Amino acid sequence: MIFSSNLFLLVFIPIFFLVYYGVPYRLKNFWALAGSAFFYAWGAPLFLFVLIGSVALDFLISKTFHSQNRKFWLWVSLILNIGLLAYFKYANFFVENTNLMLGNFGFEQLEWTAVALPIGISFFTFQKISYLIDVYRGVRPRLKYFHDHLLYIILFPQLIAGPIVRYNEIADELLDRKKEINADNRFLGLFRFVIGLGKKVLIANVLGVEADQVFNADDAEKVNAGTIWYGAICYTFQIYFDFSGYSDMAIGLGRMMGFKFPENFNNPYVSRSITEFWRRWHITLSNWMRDYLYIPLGGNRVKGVRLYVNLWTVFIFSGLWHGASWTFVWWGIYHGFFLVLERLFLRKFYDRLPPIFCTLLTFFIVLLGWVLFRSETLDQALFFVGKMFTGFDGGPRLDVEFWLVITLAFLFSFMAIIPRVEVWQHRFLFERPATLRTLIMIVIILIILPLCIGAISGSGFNPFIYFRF
Amino acid sequence: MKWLKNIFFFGVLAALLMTIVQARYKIIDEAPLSGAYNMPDTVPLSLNTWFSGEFQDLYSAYYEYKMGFRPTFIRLHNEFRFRLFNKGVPHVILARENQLYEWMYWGHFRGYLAQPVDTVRERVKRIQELKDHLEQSGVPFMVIIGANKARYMPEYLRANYGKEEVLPNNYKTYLSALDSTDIKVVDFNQVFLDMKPEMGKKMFPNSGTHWSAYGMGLCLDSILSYANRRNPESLKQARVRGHYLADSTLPSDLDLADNLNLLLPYPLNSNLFPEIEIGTSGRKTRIFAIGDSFYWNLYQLDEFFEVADTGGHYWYYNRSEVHFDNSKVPVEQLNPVEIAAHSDIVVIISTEANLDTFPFGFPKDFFRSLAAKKQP
Repeated sequence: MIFSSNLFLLVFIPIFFLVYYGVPYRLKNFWALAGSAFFYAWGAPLFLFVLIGSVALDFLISKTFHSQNRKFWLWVSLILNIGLLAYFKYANFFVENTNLMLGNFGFEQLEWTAVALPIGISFFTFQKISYLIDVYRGVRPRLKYFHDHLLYIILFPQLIAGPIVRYNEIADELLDRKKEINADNRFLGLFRFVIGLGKKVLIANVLGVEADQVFNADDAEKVNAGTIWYGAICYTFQIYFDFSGYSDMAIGLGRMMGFKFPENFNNPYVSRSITEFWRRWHITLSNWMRDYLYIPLGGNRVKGVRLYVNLWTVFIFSGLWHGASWTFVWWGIYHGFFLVLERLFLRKFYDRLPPIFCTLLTFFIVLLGWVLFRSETLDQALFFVGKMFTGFDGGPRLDVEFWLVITLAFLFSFMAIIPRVEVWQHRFLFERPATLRTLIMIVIILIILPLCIGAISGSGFNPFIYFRF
Repeated sequence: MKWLKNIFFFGVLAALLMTIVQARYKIIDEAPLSGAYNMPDTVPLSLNTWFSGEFQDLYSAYYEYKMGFRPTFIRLHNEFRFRLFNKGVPHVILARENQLYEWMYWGHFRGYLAQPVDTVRERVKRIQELKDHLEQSGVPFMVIIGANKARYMPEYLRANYGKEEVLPNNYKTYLSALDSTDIKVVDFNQVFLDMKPEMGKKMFPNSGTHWSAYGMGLCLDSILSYANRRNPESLKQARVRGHYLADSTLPSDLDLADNLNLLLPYPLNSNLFPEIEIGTSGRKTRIFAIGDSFYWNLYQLDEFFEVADTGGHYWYYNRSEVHFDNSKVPVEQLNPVEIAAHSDIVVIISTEANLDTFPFGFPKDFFRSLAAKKQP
């Protein structure tokens, strides 16, 4: 079930939340668990059992973390979790590439039945690992009851597309959030959810149709440079509004339930460097990678070549986390390359430039990266990028809808360049609203929500990009 | 403010819940959406269908159609896109001055689905054989080409739609092939274009693709005049003596506007109606018409029922017979030879947008029936 479907909006949400607020406090976690299990089973009914089984193993293993063999058991649990992710997400990719190599050398290819990718596996595997490591490190005590542990992993708002909520960020609320279930959080949560829904349905979906026409063109050879730029720009904003819209919805739903999930985006396209971009884009993934991969590899304690190798390693893994395809690996390498360059000299160079120029340059680097990310193959990506820079030979006809949507996308993406806008944004989204702000929010909800339901009903095009990961 | 936030929040939940109630009990009457769609199938819930995911997949698609207030939400979405972006539905072209065009009509004007000349000549040869046979039996036969709005007034199309005719196209290929025969052809494209200096855009409703009531009247007049030419005054005539503008609409005047499924009424121009004089002598005409909806349009004229005999027949695309009450019977259950023999006239009618399948296989079916009849 996806958030931007009428089944979720018009059936799941009202029934789930009316019961959630209606049941006594001690039963709220059980109802949240039941709702989350149903939510996941709607998309992956059989894998739910694998998921519950693996969480049960984590639960049992985490009990051993006070014993002398704790390190051994930690490794066992990490291998089990990474093994599960590797099997379901990367086995097809591995066999495909192995067969390609075997074929090239004239050997017989491996027989293999393709494995179906369970939705959200990359997200909940990272949460499971976060739980195990946080408990192992003693950051937080382990959860006493299995149902609480299971709820942390399968809590439906963040289950399938993040944000990646680390155990220590939510541990207190899992056990006691009585004070957080209040009118302000319900209202702010609803507002945040509707904003996210609007970003997804009214902006990302519209741009997605355009981007798909370019990247899925039957005869890519005939696509001209202007059209590729158009597709690249559409996709650049589509992926941001799609993913940040989903994160907003997840954060909003969590808040309606009394949970406070971490923020996942902070105006990433105003970044003045790729380093800053990764502090603002998919923040929970960056933080996870930093704390559970980069720092264990040595972090900033190592110097020279080792540091750069570590940085690049993290980004290659980050690319691979997004999907089992060489384009994602190259996308990771591409970002890692600029990150290393910035460490070497580029950041000093940026310091001498006007900030707006750094922002534009970073946006341009990111945009080219999205071409790599969106392309089906490396060849297609190189072809597209090559054509973008070999003479402008016409482009698509742009209509009013495109101009309006792209203008909105541009404004929402770049308004944080203006000083104090970020402060204003923060105040509007997070602080308890006074009367006028409450009324403004009500009007916004009353406009956006029916328009979104109408748009979902009126168009069949509604896929979420980040479900693939 | 806590009370306001609570009332609003639970009000929103209740409103969302109302869609379930509406889906189940239809508490508020809503106009159904125009246009055809296939309701997705669903399967009963069972362990098998649940664990295979089949139930969830099918039910998700099914619910999109089943949900309460779906027509209202879709109309809201369409209205928003129409007002803000001047966008409609895929097959309807929104043109200047609130003119609507159906894409296929413009497409055929631009050479879409153009049939090879040899194919058209072969089809026309079959029509000629049919005409020869019918006229030998004393039954007049004629071909009517309905008027194409895109050909008549392409000037209202926006810049991204070509306004020039593209050759070859079916209309010109058929006209050329029919010219070399002695088949009676009434080409309403030309009739309309001849009247354009006087009538301008009024010949078509701005919100539909079919001809105005005035065009229908001219068509009816033409059919009856030709049917009557051998025995003047034996059949009741319907002469178009003039025209007038009125703000009323026939259902076909709104065929494209209805398909936009908007929340608010589409802006309409006045429509052109015929002043028809019905003959006082003669009996009603038994018309056997085979063709597209341009003949069905005539059912909207009150005068049609004054001059058309209930013993007439209308075969919609040579697939089903449409009675005066709009009920249908598959044509396979009927004998075209018998029907033609008892008709005062046989007409094959098509607009340009359907010429790619013209004459809908009727001559072939007719001669097949004839051959079957001759066999002992």
